[in-house]
Amino acid sequence: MNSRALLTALCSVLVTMVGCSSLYRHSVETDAFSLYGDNDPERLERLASVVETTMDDFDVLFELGEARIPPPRVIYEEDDLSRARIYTSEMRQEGFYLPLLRLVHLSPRHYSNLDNDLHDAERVVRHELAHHFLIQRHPASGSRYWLNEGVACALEAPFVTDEDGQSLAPLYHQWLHEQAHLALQRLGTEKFTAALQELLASGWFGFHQSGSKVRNYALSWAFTYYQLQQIPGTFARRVEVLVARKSQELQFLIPGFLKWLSEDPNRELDALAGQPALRLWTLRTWLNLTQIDGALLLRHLLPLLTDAGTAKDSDGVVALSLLTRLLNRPAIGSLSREQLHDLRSTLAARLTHGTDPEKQEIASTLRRSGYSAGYLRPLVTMLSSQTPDVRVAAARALARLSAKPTITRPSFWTDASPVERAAEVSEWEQWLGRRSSRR
Amino acid sequence: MPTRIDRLVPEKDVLHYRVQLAAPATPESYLSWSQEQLTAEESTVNPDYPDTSIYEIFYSFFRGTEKLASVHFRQDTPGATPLRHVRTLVFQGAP
Repeated sequence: MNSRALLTALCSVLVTMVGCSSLYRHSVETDAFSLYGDNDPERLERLASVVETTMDDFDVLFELGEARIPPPRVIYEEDDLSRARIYTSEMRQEGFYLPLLRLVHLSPRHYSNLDNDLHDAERVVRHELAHHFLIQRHPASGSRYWLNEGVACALEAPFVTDEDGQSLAPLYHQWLHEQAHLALQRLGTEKFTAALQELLASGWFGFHQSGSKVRNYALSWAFTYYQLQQIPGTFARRVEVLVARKSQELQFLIPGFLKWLSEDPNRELDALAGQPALRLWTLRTWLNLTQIDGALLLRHLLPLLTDAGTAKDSDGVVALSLLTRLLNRPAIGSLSREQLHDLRSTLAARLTHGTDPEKQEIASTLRRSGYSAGYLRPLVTMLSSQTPDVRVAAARALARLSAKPTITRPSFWTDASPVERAAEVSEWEQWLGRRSSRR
Repeated sequence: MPTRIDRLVPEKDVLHYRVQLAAPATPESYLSWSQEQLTAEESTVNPDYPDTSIYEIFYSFFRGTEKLASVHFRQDTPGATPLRHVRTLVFQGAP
């Protein structure tokens, strides 16, 4: 927490003493929580539903049953830059939790639209509410910062629903896994072990030291995740074991942890994708990895593509979108040039012969790559589709993939007269003709 | 103050201004400077396609080849003014 966040925390204490509802313009009060903010009420209402869903999920996950944890007070504030939709690349605190006051403070970054805002806010809500549940359920965990942050980071990922309709917490954090793996590579075993020992013994100030904060979050998540994966039973049971572990027990675990962390993160993702309920979530996460093992990933992705258009139609469309994201990358480890060519040809064929949702999904996901030329003809054909949204996606994709200027405004491709659209399509066809005659 | 401004025309209805700066500016000033530019009518018309209504305008700020920030505006309805500020991304630390 930086000095600005500390000041906000002090204000929050004051606010709690005075009463939140007298200081914030809007509030949502339920039996399970109170939410306060100065934002527009619609955004606050939508955030309230995120808080409610998260609390319901955590009630089940922590196996609270009839026992209830005290309701948190949640304060939601935007900073001036976020309000003006100005986003800086520097990392900043997006929330904090004060256990004594049961106060959750949220100030997540905002992105392009309300849906994305909420998507980002959900992650922060889950992280901070995880602190609330863990500390209220296991008060002894409050002083172990690595454990607290480790569990909170593990619960940032949205829950997935398995075939029986049960919520499942993936617990995996791709970015922190990569950071921890890199830290081990850079520091070497000896220095890394020393850093981990220091973290395990650290208090609040030690954990939040500015020079090693990212590494501390990464190591906390990685060590917590490693242990959670080793302990059998439900999440609640595993956390109980984790909280009860003494320092000496933790020391015995370090060699095994180092061995796991030294392995390529692709292997952990391979194991996660092997669980049917987590497959799609894992594949999405996998595509954010810096160095993807394409052959490993495709082992899980390609079987989903054979289902496209048949039993698992929506999964098939998602799988095509994921394949498109993979092929957008300039370099993919462990795939030959021929394999890449075949996969790109598959994608181009789906743009021609696929269903409308498939065409729309691929076109919306395509980015300029060395193979862009192979997609241009099917995309130009899509400009004459009977489905307006397919025409919109094709125009946007052509704008990204080719140098020829076009009209990108969606309303042109949905509402303009057929004659106006035909003129634009005709220009594209002439351009394609000139292009192929030059080759 | 910009040392150079180049206009790129990536699409018929999209304009992209590449602005060279001698030094990084504050996050707010990228947006306010771009908003001032939008008030000049000629900056919201594509000279190659003057009859096509502009859909999006981007201002990208550079120091040499280093990208400092980008400001994105959109006109959801043809002819609507002012253009809506979609987002400003600041890639390099503010002074």
